[in-house]
Amino acid sequence: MLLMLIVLEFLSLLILTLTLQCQVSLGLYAEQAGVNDWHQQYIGTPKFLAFHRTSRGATILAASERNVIASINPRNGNIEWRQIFEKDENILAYKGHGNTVISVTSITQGDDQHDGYNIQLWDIQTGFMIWEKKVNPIKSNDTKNNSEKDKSRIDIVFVDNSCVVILIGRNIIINLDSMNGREIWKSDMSDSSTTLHKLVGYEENLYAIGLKKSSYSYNIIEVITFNIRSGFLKSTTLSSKVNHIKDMMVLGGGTNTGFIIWIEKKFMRVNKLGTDVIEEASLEALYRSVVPSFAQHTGELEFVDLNLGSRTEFLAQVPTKNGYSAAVFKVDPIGGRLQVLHDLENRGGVSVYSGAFDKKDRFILSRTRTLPQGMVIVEIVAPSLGEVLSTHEIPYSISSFGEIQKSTLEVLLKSNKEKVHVAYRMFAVSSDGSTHFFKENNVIWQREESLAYAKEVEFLDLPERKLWTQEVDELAEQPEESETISPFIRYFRRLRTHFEQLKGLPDYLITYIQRFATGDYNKDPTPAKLSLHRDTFGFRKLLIFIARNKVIALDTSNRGQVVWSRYFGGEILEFQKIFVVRSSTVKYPPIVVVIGTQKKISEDSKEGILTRLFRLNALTGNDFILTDDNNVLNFPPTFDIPGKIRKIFKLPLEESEERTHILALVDEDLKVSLYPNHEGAMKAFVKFAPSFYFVLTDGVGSNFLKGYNIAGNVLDTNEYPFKAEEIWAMEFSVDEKLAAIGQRPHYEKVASLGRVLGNRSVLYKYLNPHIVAIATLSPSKTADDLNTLNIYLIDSVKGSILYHATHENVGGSSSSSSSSQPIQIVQVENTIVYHFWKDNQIEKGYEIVVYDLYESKQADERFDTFNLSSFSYERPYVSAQSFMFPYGIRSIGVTTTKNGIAMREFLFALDTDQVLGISKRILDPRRPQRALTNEDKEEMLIPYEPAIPDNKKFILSYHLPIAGIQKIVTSPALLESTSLVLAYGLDLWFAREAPSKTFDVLSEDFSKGTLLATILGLVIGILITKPMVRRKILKSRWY
Amino acid sequence: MLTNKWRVDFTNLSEQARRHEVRGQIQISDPSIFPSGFASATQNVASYSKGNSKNKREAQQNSTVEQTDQEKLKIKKAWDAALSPGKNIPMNAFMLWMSGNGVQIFSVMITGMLFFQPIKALMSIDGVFERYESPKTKPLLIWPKIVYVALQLLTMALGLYKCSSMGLLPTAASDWLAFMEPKQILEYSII
Repeated sequence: MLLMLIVLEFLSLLILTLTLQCQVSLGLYAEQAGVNDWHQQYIGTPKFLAFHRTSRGATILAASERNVIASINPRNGNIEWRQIFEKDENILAYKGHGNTVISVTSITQGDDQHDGYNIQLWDIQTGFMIWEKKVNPIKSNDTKNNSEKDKSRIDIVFVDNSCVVILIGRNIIINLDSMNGREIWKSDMSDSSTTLHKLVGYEENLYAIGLKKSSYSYNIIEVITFNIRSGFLKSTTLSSKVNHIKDMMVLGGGTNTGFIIWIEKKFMRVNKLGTDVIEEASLEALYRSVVPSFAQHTGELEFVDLNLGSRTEFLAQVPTKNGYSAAVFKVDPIGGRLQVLHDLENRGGVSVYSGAFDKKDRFILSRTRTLPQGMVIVEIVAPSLGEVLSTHEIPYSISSFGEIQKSTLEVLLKSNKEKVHVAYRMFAVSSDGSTHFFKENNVIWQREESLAYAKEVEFLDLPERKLWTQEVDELAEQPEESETISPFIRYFRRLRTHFEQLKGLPDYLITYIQRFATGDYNKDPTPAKLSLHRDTFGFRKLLIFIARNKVIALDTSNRGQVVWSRYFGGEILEFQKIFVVRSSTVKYPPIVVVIGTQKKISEDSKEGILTRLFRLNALTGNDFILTDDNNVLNFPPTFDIPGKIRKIFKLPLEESEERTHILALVDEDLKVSLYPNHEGAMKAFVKFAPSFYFVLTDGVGSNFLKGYNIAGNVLDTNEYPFKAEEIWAMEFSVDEKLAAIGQRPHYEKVASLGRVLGNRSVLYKYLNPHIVAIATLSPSKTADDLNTLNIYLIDSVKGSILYHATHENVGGSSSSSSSSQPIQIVQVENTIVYHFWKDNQIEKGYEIVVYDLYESKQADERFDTFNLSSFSYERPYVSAQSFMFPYGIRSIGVTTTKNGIAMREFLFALDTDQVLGISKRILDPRRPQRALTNEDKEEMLIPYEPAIPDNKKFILSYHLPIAGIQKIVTSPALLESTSLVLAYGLDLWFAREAPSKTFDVLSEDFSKGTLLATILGLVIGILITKPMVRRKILKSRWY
Repeated sequence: MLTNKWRVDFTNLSEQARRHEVRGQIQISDPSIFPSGFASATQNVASYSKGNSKNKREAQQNSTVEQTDQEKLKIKKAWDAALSPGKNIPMNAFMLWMSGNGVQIFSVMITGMLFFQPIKALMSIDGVFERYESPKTKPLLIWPKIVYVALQLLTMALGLYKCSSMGLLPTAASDWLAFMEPKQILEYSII
């Protein structure tokens, strides 16, 4: 018996160690990649876009406002490659040539704000850089404002295949060898007053066309001629008077002679480059007789540059009472005479044009108009034939995307004997920033590029399906009806519901069995996936983003598909905040409120700011309008407040009528108004106000915090809006600036009030929700370029400092400096974590510090009160530890689970475009700096190591490059073990993370078959042996 | 379970044992039903021995001596029975030590046994001492019974000790942590 016991003991030990081993293992198998997570890559709104045809097929070249250059596959809209520049490195030009593409970006060099330029040549197939050339800062005495204007003057001309000429700045021309980026010659005419605008290469000459300021109000066109190989030849001026750059256009180059076209007084004049000949055409004649649709013009002629390269066709348009009239012109390359090719007529509204050439080298023009009824009309015009080849009507949601603003065209000639048929493809940018790809009458793909500007996001729980079906037949009843209805009828209704549900039973059983057999819970028991409802484990939620002036809802479970999006083009300048004010409940749809600002021109034509609140149905994106007539006035879907709102708070209060959370809006004059502001909300707020405190700050970079509450006497008098009163202020010295502010998330669930130690005693957590951890930076006294980091734990109710720590020689600074290593801080439960760059003689590197706050240093001791008031004198005991951290970070997030039982995991957005998950077990100040005692082992402590391990298994995003993460937000699922994680910035990345492993889900390799077989075997065994045993007992009684 | 309609216990010939029930009437079976050659040691035998008075007296004397011997023997046996749980204690202690302080299936099983066995034993204490019972020994049996109970309780105490060393007894503050109410927060602040 003893022997057996020992063997069993050994076995049990083995099992225990195995389970412990399992807990430690992390990471992901290759086939699990992309199963529970999705990644969406974005580039931002393109500002340069073009089709480019190489020997290996066509691609779309796009460079965006988010400083990303990319090559997009026109077939499916996937990014073939992209390169992301620094935040302050703006893209000034992006142009493809052959198998390469060139980009010019502005860079800031050194401390003295001199702009330089970075010219890079990229391989179009792979996106690898071929060469790079940095052009030194311009030594000009211009004010910064002026140089800002000059930035746009970038022109690139490829001359045959050997060199590329680039115009940068106001008047620097640089000729580079396109093979290796070597400088052939450079012309710096910074002293001249001419501002160059355009380069034209023709044969051996290169012409730079600019405007020279004359002593009068107009400019004179100056043409500087260079020899491609050797440089400067001569400078000539044309006898011309040009008011503004937009009145001048340069055409041609390459295979054609270049022409300058400009408008001078009442004439349109043309000069063939390299000659002095000036042709002219009267605008009067143009308006009156040549172009019929120009007759109704109300303004001046405008040129539309189609960037047609060497072609000499151009487009000009005039404004009329309803929209623009446009016509296509051409300069005869030989004679230099102006011709009108085609009158495009007036179609009303604004049209977007783009041009391309077919195989016969004919010029094909596209005219794209967005109709308010939700359609895009693309007309394909062949100006040389003078006819519209085809008109396409493409379904399009103007409420989601706004109007088409830019387009680029590619045409393919389809040989058809009777009629010229042109197939087209168009890549277009709409005013919300998203991109669309049209072909024939269809949208082939769309890219929601506005998500690259995501500012805030809210997770929205979806309603349960079961409740929805009941809602339809039972719960939709009005209160009056439910009063009169008899219990019997209600019972029959319930029965009917159940019978109706019975119809779905076979389906349900089949899917249930399937689900049981496969373990695939994504398969829903009820098939309709289109309706928005919660899934079994609550993994399916809506992500509602605000991005610039757009609201977008994504579905977490369908790889981030857009459920709805709404563009607030004219109404909102930029959204500031989003709040879910009512989550999904049985009867009511969930509501979000989005808050944005708009420039307002008031009656006395003063420019002001208007803050607008929109209340939307979170499942559809439509305005949420109440059907009940009585409430409409109290609760309008759109609500305007004049002036700028300083801060918006979501209060833990529900108003009685609609069960939505009340928002408090604090304006510049410290007036607090409520949304909604009807009587019920008012009453609730007045009751709540005495215990309501808030902190205002100008955020990172400022140097004060101020605490307020609602002035008491105001509450008595019921004066609205309520006036806030300053109760404390914390002002730092001028040098000391806020670098980061953390706050405990509201509505977090704390599973345990204390931490159980190895000897079963308890350290009680200091769970004061008012604690705000702030980090400030002040210049270091000992070393230049370095700072002193101060960490304060502040009670936000009374403004007292509960704890203060300093770190010397900390790098980076508040947002002002460019080479910043921002301080990141995060708070959760009783834990505070912050990260900074440390630079002193002994150590140099990233450091992470973790604080745990306890009520007492001694175990089993706590503040002997039932209430937690900030006004009592109780200070936390801070247990702190610091670690070396292997990476720089952009943001910190923390996993949240349903009840807060699962171990917390800190999620770091690394500057290597990855997400790293570090368990609280590792970031634990209690990790002992000695050999582990039995008690430590019981507490499951890990011995202290100075460095956080750089373990690749901790990288949650495995090999995905998640560019430009700005924030990591989390939300609980219905499973306690699992937290939903979203990282956003440029890209979006969504994943499920189980910080303590999925302890509440059977693992995939759990052999259900064996279990079933065992149970079945046992049941059969019992069925067989039971009669046998009974018979035997009976017999044994007889004999 | 088998239920007997009637039964004669040949191993115990006390009146009580011979008592049986027939149709609701309690009868004491006639010793004549004893199998031939069976010698009863009780007074019943004496009543049947017919001879002179001396013999009778001697016999009577003998029988009382025999009786007291029997009773002593019974008490002795009763003490043996009473002390037997004590003998298991070292064995149990060793098993407990072997099974360790971790909460695992074996240690929990063993600890559970330490509770169930004594309880079962205490429930059936009458059964254990029944055979040593006679009108005379009955008052004397109280001491072995007390010792028996004490030893069983000791075994249980061993189990309790094991529980506490495994940390299964809610004696520490951490055991009550889950039932603790969170402090009520009086203010609300937001930044």
